[in-house]
This record gives sequence, C-alpha cells and structure tokens, in this order.
Amino acid sequence: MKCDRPTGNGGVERADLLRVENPARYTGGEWGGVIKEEVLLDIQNTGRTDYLRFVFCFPDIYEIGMSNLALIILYGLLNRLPGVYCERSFSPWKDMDQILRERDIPLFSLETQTPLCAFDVLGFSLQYEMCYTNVLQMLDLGRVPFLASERDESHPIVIAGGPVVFNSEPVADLFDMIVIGEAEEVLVEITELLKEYKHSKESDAPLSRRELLLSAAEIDGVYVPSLYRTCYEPDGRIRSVLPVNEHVPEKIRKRIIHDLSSCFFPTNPIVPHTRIVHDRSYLELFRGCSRGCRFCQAGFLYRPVRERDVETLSRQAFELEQNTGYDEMGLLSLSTGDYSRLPRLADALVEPFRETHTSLSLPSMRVDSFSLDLMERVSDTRKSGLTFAPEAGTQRLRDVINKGVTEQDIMDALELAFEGGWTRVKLYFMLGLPTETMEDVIGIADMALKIEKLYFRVAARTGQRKRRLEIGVSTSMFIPKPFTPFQWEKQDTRESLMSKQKVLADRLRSRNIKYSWHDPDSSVWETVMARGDRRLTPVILDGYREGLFFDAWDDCFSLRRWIEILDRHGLSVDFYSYRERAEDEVFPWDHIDAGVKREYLLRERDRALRGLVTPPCSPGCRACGASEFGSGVCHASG
Amino acid sequence: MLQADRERRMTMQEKRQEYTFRLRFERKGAIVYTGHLDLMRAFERTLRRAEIPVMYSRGYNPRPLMVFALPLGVGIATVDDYADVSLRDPIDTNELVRLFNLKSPPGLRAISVRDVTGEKASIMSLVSAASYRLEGPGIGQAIRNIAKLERIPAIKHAKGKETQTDLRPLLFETDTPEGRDGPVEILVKAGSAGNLRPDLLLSACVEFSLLDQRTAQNTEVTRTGLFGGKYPDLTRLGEL
Repeated sequence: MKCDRPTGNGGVERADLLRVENPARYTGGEWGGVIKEEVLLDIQNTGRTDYLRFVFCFPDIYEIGMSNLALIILYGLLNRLPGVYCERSFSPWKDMDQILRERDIPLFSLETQTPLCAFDVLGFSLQYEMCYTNVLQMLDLGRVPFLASERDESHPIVIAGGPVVFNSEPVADLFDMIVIGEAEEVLVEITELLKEYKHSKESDAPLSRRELLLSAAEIDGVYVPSLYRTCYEPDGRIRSVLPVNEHVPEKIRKRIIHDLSSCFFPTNPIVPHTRIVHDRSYLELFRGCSRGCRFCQAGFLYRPVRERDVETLSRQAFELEQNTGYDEMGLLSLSTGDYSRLPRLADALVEPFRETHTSLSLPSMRVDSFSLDLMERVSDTRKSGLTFAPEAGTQRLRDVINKGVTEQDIMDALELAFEGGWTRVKLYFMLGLPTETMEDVIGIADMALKIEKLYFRVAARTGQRKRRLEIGVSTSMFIPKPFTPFQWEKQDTRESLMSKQKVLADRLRSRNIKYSWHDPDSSVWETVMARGDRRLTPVILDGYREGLFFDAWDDCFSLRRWIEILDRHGLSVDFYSYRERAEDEVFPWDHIDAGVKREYLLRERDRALRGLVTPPCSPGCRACGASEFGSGVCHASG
Repeated sequence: MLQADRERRMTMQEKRQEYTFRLRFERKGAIVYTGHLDLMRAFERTLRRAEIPVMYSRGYNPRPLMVFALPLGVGIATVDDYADVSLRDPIDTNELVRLFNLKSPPGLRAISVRDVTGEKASIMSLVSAASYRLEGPGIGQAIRNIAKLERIPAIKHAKGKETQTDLRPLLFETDTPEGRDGPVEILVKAGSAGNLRPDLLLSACVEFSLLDQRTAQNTEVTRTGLFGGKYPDLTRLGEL
C-alpha cells in the first residue's frame, strides 16, 4: 500500500467534480473551515511538521457528517489546541468512490487535500452500527491497513468514539484506541500522548506503537482493544473478556464532562456551502435524560443529566447566530421540554430572534400548552407538523417500556393543537417491543383513528377546517440495545414484524392517515451489529470486499447477502438477535462501564415485565449508578 | 413574474422604504462548485453575518430580497457578476463592500457596490450578453473550428424534455487575446431572451470531435463580463 503525499487538489480534477452528485461535498473551503498556513509552510519547506495532524473521519456522506454535533464540537476543540491541526474527511458517495478507484487517488481531507494515510491520527466518529463498512471504505481508499495489528510505526493511529463504542466489538480490531463517553477532555489527554509519540520518532529513543498503546490504556476512558482477549464457551457464548496483563484495567469506565457550562462549545462552526441534513446551528441545552424509557439506549448511556446554565446558553446563542448567519437554530437535547430553565431561555431568545428572522426549532419537545405557545412564538414560518412518540399502542405496553405518557396526555395536547390550527401530526411507534401482542399492534391503529375523530370533533366545534388533516403513523423495529433493561431480551423475528406491519397497513386506510414503516431487514442487521462480538470482524471485512457498504442507505443494503456471509463464518442471526439471554450471561460489552449498574438494569427489567413504571430521577433517586460520577442532577442542590 | 419580483411588489405596496444596492462580485476557488441556490444561500448568510440590514419579503416564509443578474452554473467562476440587494436602511457603498468581504466565505468577494435605489428595471431584464474565458489544452483550436460552422446543433435539457437547438446564433464573437494556444474569450447571448451556457458549447465541441470529453470537462470556465443592450451595441452591466 503506497502513500504518496501529493499537494494541491489531491488529484481530483474539474471533470471528476462535474461528474458527481453535489461536488461541494469534496471541495471544502467553507466559512469557518480552519486552514493552518503554518502547517502547510512547514510541509512545503521541510516535508514534515511538528504539528499533530488529525483527521476527523465521518463514515457517511458530507451532508450527514456535517450535521453531527460531535464533529462540530471536536473540530473546534482540536483546532484550538497548540500544535494540533484537525481536518475533516467523509465517506465519498459511490460516484466519487468509483472515480477515486479508477484514477488511483487516495481519499483526502477537505481542508488541505492530504491523503488519510499521511495523517498522524484518524479519528472516526461512530454514530450508528450500520456505518462499519464505511469505516472500511475510508481506510481502504485512504490507504491505511484495516486492522490495528497490520499497522506499524509508519502508519497513522486510528481511534474511534461516539455512541456505538459502548459495544464496538464487531469493529474493535480496526482501532488502536477507542474513546468511551464524552470526548472533550479525554481527547486532549490523548493528543498530548500522541504528540509525545510523534516527537519521539525524531529522537534517539522512539516510542514503539506497543508502548504508546500501553500508556494510552492508562488514560481513563480509553479502551485499547488489542489489550483485551475474548474467550468463548464451546456453544459460542462468551466466557470472558479479559485484559492481557495486570497493568491494563479490567473495565473501562466512560468519561463525562462534569460542568457543561464551563466546557468548550464552539460558537463559530463551519457553515457548509451546500444544503446539509440539519442546515442550522445548534445550541446544546443539556446532556442525559432522566426519564428512563427502557428501550432507549441514549437515555442510559448519557446519564447523569447535566444542564448548561441559561446565561451560557443565551450568550452562545447570540454568538452562533452572528458568527454563522444561519436563519435557524436547533435547541438540542434528548428531551428539550425537560430543560429546567426553558421558559427563561425562550424569553431571552424569542424577541431578538424575531427581529433578525431567525427561527428556533424545538426537536424532542413534549406537546403541551407551554410548548404549543412557544412553538407559535419562535417560528417565523407557518405551522410545522407536531411530533409525538407514544412508542406503543396500549397503556399496558407503554408501562412496560416506561414511556411516561398516557393516551389522555396525547389527546389533551392534540385537542389544544387542533384548536390552535395545527393540522399535521406525526406519531412514532415501535414494533416488536418485549411482551407485545397483536392487541398492542392494533392499539396503534386505534389511536390514530381516535385522533382523526378528535380532529373532526374540534373542527366541527370551532368551525375551522382550512387545511387538510395529515396524520403520519410511522413504525420502527425495537432493537434490544446494550446497557438498557432490555439487553437480555430477544428481537422479534423479521417475519413476525412484517405480519404486524401488514395488520397496521390494513387498518390504516383512511385518506387522512399515512402509514410508513422502517425496513425490518436493516433492523435485523443493526441488532446483530449492536449485540455482536469480535467474531463479526471477518464477516464485515468479507462483506466490504464483496462490495457491501453504505449499509445505512436502504437501497445499498442487502440482508440476504449479509446472512450468506454470516453463514459462511458459522454464525447466525438466531444466536445474536433471536435468543433471550440468561441473566448471568457474559455480554461482549461487559468490560465497558457505562455508569449504569447491571443490578439496576435487572431491577428495571423485572419492573418492566411486571408492568410497573419507574418515575424520572427527580424527585427521588433510582440508584442507577450514575451518581458515582459526582455531578449533574444526582448532586443538584434542592 | 418572478417570485422575487412578486415579493418586491408586495413589499412596495405596503409603502415601505427600501434601498437597493447593486453588488459587483467575483467567485473563484472551491466555492465555484456550488449551484445557484447554494450561492444565494452563501450571500444570504454573508449578509446576515455582516449585520447588513437586509429587507425581507413578507408572508409565511420571509426571504431576504436579492436578485441575481444571471445564475452561475456549477463549476463556473466569475470575475464580473452582479446581485441587487434590498436594504431597510441606506448604507455607505464602501462600507457595504468592506462588511461583505469581512464575512464572506473564501473565494466569494464583493468588488464594488452602486446605489441603484429607485431604478425601475430589474437587473435580470438588463442582461443580454455574457463573456466567458475558457482555458485548457486545445480549446483555442476547438472553439475556432466550431465557430466556422453555420449551424451548431445541440440538445438542450429543460423541464424534463430534450429539445434540439442551434447554438451558432447565440455565439457572437470569439477571440484569443494571448495567441492561438492561449485561453479563448467568447461573447455569447445571455438572459431570458436566449442564453448560451458555455458547457453546452464545450459539449458541442466533443460532439464534433474537436475535444475529448475529459479535456472539455476540465476546461476552466470563468465568466468575465455581463452586458446590456443589443449586440453589437453592448454596455457592461457595471456601466449601465
């Protein structure tokens, strides 16, 4: 594998850019992009630089990657560190992928068109399991050997972070280091170590890769996969995941930021030239969620709840608005309505933003009179749709999953909304939840039909029926994710899910209701990846070599081909997805400590099966284990 | 009637004072690979960052009032282009240039600004011709040869339909100011009454085997001027 270091345009020519869909994905040069001239001068003059060259790799296309808050934060953070230069690279879409292969051009960074193999560090952001094959695509095109064990001192260090790393065993062998949890602090510690490693190469006593990795494993929150061995039982279950020696920690505990208000947050992010998925600036209100919906992995991974104070947020909001020129700002969190100072924040922003024609978007809001009023005030544009996530069709099943919302709550909110002139409603549900029966499935259709009736009742009373009612019902598939009370459950089979979909489609034939569903095929594979172990690495490598990537894109994904490959390796979906786990079974992720205790998850599982709801953290602690971090809602006064 | 004009009329009907400034601008480098809508967004965000008091349209979805003289295709640079921007308050023209350039993305730069408040004609209706510089190996020979033809048939894709057109009447002049092997300057018809896109001319060169496909696509295209009037009596838009 050769790594030339061309300068200039990386070898891609005008003719190539005009042949691909949306060439702005590959050109960089955006407002807010960071060009460190001193690094370029160093390289021009001496062929090298003392700067640690980091490339943030997002294994999906530009429009998705640039919408990712982690990229925005870490790009800003790394570029503020002395002696570090962070650039970006994304998965090239199939058209550009083909051009790079045909013309023998290595995948490059957007800022300086440097091939990935010429960087000191590649940092992958793993946002969803279905991106694993795109990690391989980027390494392949970037001319970096796939496996950590195939790389030596001449190759970049490849690291990963993001929500899926809480079980990244199926791709663990690709990475030298994996950052568990929030990266703002630990990444700084890692770059210090990597600078030392880089500079030692010029000295009499260069550090070996092995020495580097041993030091890295001593940093809290850094998982070095090559320092752990997985042993299996004869029946395929895991016996143990153990460190290779006593200096390596048995468990890797996630890192969190204790004080969000004083933590770095960039208010001058990159503003892309081209339209991206979330074409707006972001204000991050808080991390974590105390509701404890039992299917929701994020709700357990990001504990404890930590808020940014309202002064910090309003300062950041005005800076963002002024620095980016975006006309929309998203208030981001797992449950925006739970931000304790939302009314104050809204008061601070609404009027000034109206002046400048900036609208606020409020994803993850529960609908009630406060939020309806707020939505009316914050949006310059006409009434958008309202979104509800009851997740299950009957109260019994909503109690099982601890979704603290009743049908009455939803009907009350919708009555207000219909009176206020809203006519578009989206409802999100999950199929295949633990204990689900056909009655629960039919309950989904019943709820949608009741909402339709409610609308006509309100319309008859108020006499307003200007626009057509649109009810969108959407179902996705439940996936028993690690670190949730349902991690022991099996997934519903593809056949069963498809028959449930059909039942719903038959019942939702009203002209006012549109039913859409998520493809069960990709959910089947997502579950295998989410629950998988290191035996899946050769499967993923084979799939990629046979042309499977962009698995997150339905038209690129083929479950049939993946299952063929899985078969060839003597593994099965039955083993990973369709099997309830014994309470004492060792999980592939048991050496990762996400902060929530196994006993707590078991307790919650037991309550779920008995149909008992568990109220949110405050008031009253549920002893999930997150209080051990010593910050956030667990230790709030009052 | 164009959307922008309709919004402008609505605004005028409400008797709100507005000030119109004509920005002459250039674009080069990476930002060349954006389409017209993306370029408009880049303008909008630049004006917002610069806190220039842009006038917004009325209605459900207020947009900044901006009109571009002639859309720029993906991959085409420009050194002489124009956009009219409506402001709520008057502003010093030099200050407008300075503020814009402080906040514009790399490659997008305002060259000068003229106050055109009260001028009736829409900037789009003024445009009748455009000049482009084409640079690349063999381009001089190819354009000279194609200009000798009496007809240059080409297929135009518009609104999902393919139509046969003749490019020859749209090609006014060609010139090689730096000698036979240097870049070519072409002067072509532009605007709503007939428009020659340089990429169509390059494709025609490929059709007539005067250039190979890759060379044609690698030819650098830069818009060098926009003109009003009736050929051959053309006046640069900046001097109208």
